[in-house]
Amino acid sequence: MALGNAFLLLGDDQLLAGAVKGCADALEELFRRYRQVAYRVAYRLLGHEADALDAVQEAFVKALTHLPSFQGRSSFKTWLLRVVSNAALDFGRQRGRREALNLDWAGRRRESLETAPQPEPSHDLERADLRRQLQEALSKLPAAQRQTFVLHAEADLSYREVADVLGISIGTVMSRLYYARQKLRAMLEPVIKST
Amino acid sequence: MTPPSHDWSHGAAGGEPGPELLAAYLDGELEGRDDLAALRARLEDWIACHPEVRDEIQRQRRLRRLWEQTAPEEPTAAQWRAALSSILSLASAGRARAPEAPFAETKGKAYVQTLGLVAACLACVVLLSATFLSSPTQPWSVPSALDFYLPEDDPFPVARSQEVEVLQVAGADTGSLPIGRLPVQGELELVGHDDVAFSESNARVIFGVNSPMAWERLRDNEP
Repeated sequence: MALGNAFLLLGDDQLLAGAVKGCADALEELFRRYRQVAYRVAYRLLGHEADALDAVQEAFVKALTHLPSFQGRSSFKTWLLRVVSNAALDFGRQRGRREALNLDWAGRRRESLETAPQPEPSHDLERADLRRQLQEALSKLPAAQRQTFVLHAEADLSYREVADVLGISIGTVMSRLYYARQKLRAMLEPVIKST
Repeated sequence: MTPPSHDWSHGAAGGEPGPELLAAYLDGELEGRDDLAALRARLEDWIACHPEVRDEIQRQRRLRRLWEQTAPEEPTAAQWRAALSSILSLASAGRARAPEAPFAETKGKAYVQTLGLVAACLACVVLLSATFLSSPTQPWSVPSALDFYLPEDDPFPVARSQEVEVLQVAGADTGSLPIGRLPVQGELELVGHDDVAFSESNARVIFGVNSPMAWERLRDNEP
């Protein structure tokens, strides 16, 4: 679908107004603007490409379905990232239950490997290994610390924006970040030393 | 409880900045802010004089570089198109299923009016309770220019573990056995019943109301 250039110039408020009325071009532009950050946040929380994409889809569906109730107290980005991060955490919990029952995880993993972009040798293998180690350390954090850290580090949100997304105080954001960093640094000490 | 001795907001010498302030410095929350320029300069001077903190900040910066190096691969254009198509169709279906007026035809005006009356009564009860039962609270005097809390005129005292002395612990409160000689400063050491051995000749037990409060840990070479 060709997207008119005019939509690229519109602010989020105008796009939201159009999206509420069901304008597909406005919806598409909102998706194009925020899909990348949404995916990166979901991926960091889940560590799995296919699940992250599913979480992003689910979050956008929820966000678009409930657009009429979005009151603009926060920016669309922070509102969307709240939905995305909660959807990703829910996905993670469901996946944990699935893995415990040994259901379709193996099939989804196979599918993920088949559809993911094929990495180039050497440099990307090293990067993939670093990513795996980081994801493993991240998965050991309590969910609240993990969510706070990912929103700040990946979505590049300020303390205040993270506080708005999660509905917590700025002091709590700072405290969670402090402890998350401490734990990550301790777990990744050998890797950090070599960077 | 002794409040922290540092007072970075008033430029007092001595003491050390809290971890939150160091994190804010690391995250660039103090940059580009004229009202925090002096604080940032003081913090940088302090960090320069404390190599262990400077090293920790460097390690945190390396952690950040590691994070940036491991950014995930983005989905392909085809995957994005498929995702968007799915989103648009599901979102349309979701909006189509949402009821427009849940009480319009089926419940009637009297039902709605009754619900409104009940809600209003409940709201009055809540408001009255809040008025008469709530204790007066101290207003926060956080300057509007600051995005995060810095100790100003009315600091909220938060103690670190080393600044708190535990004078009394009941084992029943913890579900395990507190170890140590009272008063305890710092983290409580809690053990299960399998982790300690009781020796009448060496243990010192301080009894509380219903259960032992603390046991002195046996030294390694004692039976």
